[in-house]
Amino acid sequence: MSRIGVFVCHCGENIGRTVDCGKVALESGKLQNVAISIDYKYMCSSPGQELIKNSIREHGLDGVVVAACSPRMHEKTFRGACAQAALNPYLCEMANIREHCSWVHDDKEAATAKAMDIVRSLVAKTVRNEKLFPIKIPVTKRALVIGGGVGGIQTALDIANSGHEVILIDKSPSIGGRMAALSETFPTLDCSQCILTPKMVDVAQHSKIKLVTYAELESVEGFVGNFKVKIRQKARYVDPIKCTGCGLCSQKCPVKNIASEFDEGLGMRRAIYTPFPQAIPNRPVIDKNNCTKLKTGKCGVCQKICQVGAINYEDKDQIVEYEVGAIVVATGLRALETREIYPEYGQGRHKDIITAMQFERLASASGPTLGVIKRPSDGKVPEKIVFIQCAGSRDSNAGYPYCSKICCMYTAKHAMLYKHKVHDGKAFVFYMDIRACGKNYEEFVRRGIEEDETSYLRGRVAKIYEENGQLVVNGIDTLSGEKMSIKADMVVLATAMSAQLESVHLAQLLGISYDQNNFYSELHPKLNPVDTATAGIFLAGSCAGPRDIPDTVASAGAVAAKVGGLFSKELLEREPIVACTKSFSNMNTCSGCFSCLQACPYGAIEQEIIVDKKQQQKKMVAKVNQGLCQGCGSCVSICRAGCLDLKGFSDEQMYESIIGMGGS
Amino acid sequence: MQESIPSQKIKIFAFVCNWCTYAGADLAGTARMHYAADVRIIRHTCTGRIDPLFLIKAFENGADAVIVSGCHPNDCHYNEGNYLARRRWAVVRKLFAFMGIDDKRIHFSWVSAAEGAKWAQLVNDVAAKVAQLGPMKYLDSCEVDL
Amino acid sequence: MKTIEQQKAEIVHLFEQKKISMVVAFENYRGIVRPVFVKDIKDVEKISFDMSGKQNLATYLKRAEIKKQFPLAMVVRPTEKSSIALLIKENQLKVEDVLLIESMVSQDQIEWKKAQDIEIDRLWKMSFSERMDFWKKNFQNCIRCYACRQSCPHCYCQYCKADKNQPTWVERSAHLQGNFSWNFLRAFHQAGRCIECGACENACPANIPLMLLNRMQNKITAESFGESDPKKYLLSDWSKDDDNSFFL
Repeated sequence: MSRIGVFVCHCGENIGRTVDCGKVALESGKLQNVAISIDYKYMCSSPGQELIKNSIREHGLDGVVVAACSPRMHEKTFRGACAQAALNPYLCEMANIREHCSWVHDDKEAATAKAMDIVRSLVAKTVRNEKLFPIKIPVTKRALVIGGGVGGIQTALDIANSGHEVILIDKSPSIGGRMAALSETFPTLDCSQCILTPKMVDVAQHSKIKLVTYAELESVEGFVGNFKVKIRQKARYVDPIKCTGCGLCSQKCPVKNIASEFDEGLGMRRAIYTPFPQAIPNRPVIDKNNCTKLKTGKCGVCQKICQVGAINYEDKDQIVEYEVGAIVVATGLRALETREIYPEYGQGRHKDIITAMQFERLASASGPTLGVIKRPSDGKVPEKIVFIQCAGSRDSNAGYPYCSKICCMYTAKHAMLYKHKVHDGKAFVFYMDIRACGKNYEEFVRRGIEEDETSYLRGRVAKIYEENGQLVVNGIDTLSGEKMSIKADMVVLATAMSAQLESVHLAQLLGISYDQNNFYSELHPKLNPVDTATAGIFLAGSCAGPRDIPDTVASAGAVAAKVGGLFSKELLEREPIVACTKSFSNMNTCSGCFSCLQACPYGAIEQEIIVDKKQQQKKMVAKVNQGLCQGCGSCVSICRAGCLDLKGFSDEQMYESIIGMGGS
Repeated sequence: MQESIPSQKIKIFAFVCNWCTYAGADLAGTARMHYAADVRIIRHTCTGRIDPLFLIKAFENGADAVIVSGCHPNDCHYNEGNYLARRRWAVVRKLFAFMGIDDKRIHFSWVSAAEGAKWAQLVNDVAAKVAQLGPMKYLDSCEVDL
Repeated sequence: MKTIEQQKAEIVHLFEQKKISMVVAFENYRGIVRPVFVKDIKDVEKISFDMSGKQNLATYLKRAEIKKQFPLAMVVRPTEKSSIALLIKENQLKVEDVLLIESMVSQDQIEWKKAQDIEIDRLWKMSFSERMDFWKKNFQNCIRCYACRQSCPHCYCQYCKADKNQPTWVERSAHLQGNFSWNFLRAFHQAGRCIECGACENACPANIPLMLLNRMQNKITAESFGESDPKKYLLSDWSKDDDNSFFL
């Protein structure tokens, strides 16, 4: 027998006008298991809450049902009141007789009868409520940030500045990511390197940040607050401690003709190299696939020339393990090549048909042409450049149905930079739309049109070909209706921004979801844009979808706030509405089919080996990781044997609430 | 204020998820939209939790009709619960129908937290439909033509 | 194509090599085909390869005492093979637990299934109340002997949900409401799993046409869903292309 207290609220006139609260209280008092049943004008008010607390103490109540507004409104309030009266808060339920009853019906008799049904149902449920306690799990206050672009850099700095340790890894020899390769950034035309390098230096010098470049994630185990990660530090063949960054080795390396990844293939690098002059850490690595010494055993010039003996040809990859409490994914994205999807654009066939990232390198003062816009074919300065937007994006047939978000802005920027450097140059932009949605973005584009005289042609390009050594671009201007045939000296393609090639592999290592474009999925696209469905793993920047620098930096800050929240307590407390195993007569009745594991959206079901009491044999059974479980209860109804239950909404509770709703 | 909708003197049990339909019904309340007083909402965390045995239990205990409602596909608070539920119901509704439970007594819907009006309309439609069918009388008599 | 003699020799060889300690097969005992559990070489003679037995032999693999005999051999038809494949998929068996000795006799259930299809169509053409009456007549005869459950290899839960109280979802006594719930539940739990061997219907002492439920359900699962991962329980998976038409 339980001792439930029923408290019926009039809510002023809101409930009282339609539902006969006195009658509901009277009838509810007659129910078995109800020790006291009263009505009051305003239950959520101070005196109302005192009434509940006093009743709990005076009548020794072991459960409370407040018949009032929606639990989404005041469940917390009343559970708090119960806790103050030393009654476990999860023994308190609310019967919604306002939003679901008095406010939507005006037949008093029907509304009152319905209110009595609802109260009866909740009383029956509450009889089966169990005491529940917040789940506490320890937290390792260290974050792993995967990716050292501007997003990863910002989030590492923000987390470190709030007092927590950070390990920042990047697969390249240097941090900086895509932003380090840009020339100037929209809409301010700040020099990209100038604004990024100070942050990169801060990362390198920050006492709480451990920077590990030329490294990749090898494996992840564990769960939120308690991850064990293995990082593969690739062999650099250069001792970063001994090395002084003098650069002699790169100068003397005889292998000169490797296409530089940083320069998008427009420039060359050596086999021993730093990717760019402002690299952090400013220490070279040896590209083992192109190094003569590592491949054939001959050469060794760099070792001979090095004055501090930093070169080590015996270096090997190392696996290092770290314990972290949170993982931030900031792996960014890549710019596509169009040759696979639009062969008619001729990219790859003609040297002067280049991608936007290649144009950035041409425009960059530290680029292969030292900032002079030159044709890659003959080194001449182009007099006419045609820019083509949407060269791959917004095309479902090509497999890239989405908008890449930044191309309208950077194309406007490219046209303006070109014009600033080549005063007599003429820029044409073929576009479908101009998406200039950010702060000062529209003004920026208009400046390009009005001050720098960029010609915007609304239409697509059908073909780019070569005629007598001259590039010809055939397109259409739909606003005038004219077909355009432009003899161009250079063509720049705004190719689609797509997910990194290894994004799926990384997602699978981490256990996070990704969408049909292989970008990572956020927990909720509007309300939780930086969490993932996997507790403890966050997304910063464009790995979740194309975005510009301001949005990336903002999301990086948001992630740092989330990580700070995660680390703010010694023990993580979570609502205990989670799944659990249900035993019968102290026996675990799980058959080990793991249909639950297959269904769980959070990977919160684990496998455990126990000894079956009946059959005296070992068996593998399902176990719920309550740290990961979010409490949807899907596993409970998937389990054919009925071995799982959901705390707070258990089988017994739901059974009784259905029967209670049905009538006396 | 809307016109009052009379009770059809039947009982409809609604199994809904907390994050979408329950919130949508709350919204209908806040906006004072009126609908038939025959519906009784039972709150769950997610439609993924709702077992077909709940529906049978409802019929055994006086329900004349049942509504199961949750978040629209893609919007589930728990990402996938409603997808798992959707598949389950495709099977269960056919089994029920084949076994002779009138499918006009079992309704499925996606009602989001913003769709208070949809909830009200849904309840009215179901109540009107089921009133025409009359009370359920679910297997309450063992008397069958022998 | 192996002859029966060759297959018997194969089994004897397996015993001699101590690769197995038992063979599960059918025997013909005084004109009745029934399961037999052969543990001795001298009993191999008993094995009947005509495989016309109505049971699905894979159901015996649920039992603790049989599990203790792993690895064992089983003379199988497509029926047993399908069930064993499902049991392996659902972690109830390992591949090496059962050596399959394939019976060369073909198993024909075509006539039976045709009759079932006709009956399913006939039922769908009825009104709801007519169908309800049909099943009422059948389920009132159900004595809750659970022969259907015992004969099905896929009903391996140590503690069946229908036997559990706290709460009692399925009334245990043999009355109409509980019988309805029980038969619904068993059919539902076979969704995506039933291989249509008919062992349940054959075992039912009240001759309830259980296959109508199972086969009707298999038709539904075949046409209502998008792609599913074959390694997963059908209802643990989902697809964007699953039937959404019945949602208001």
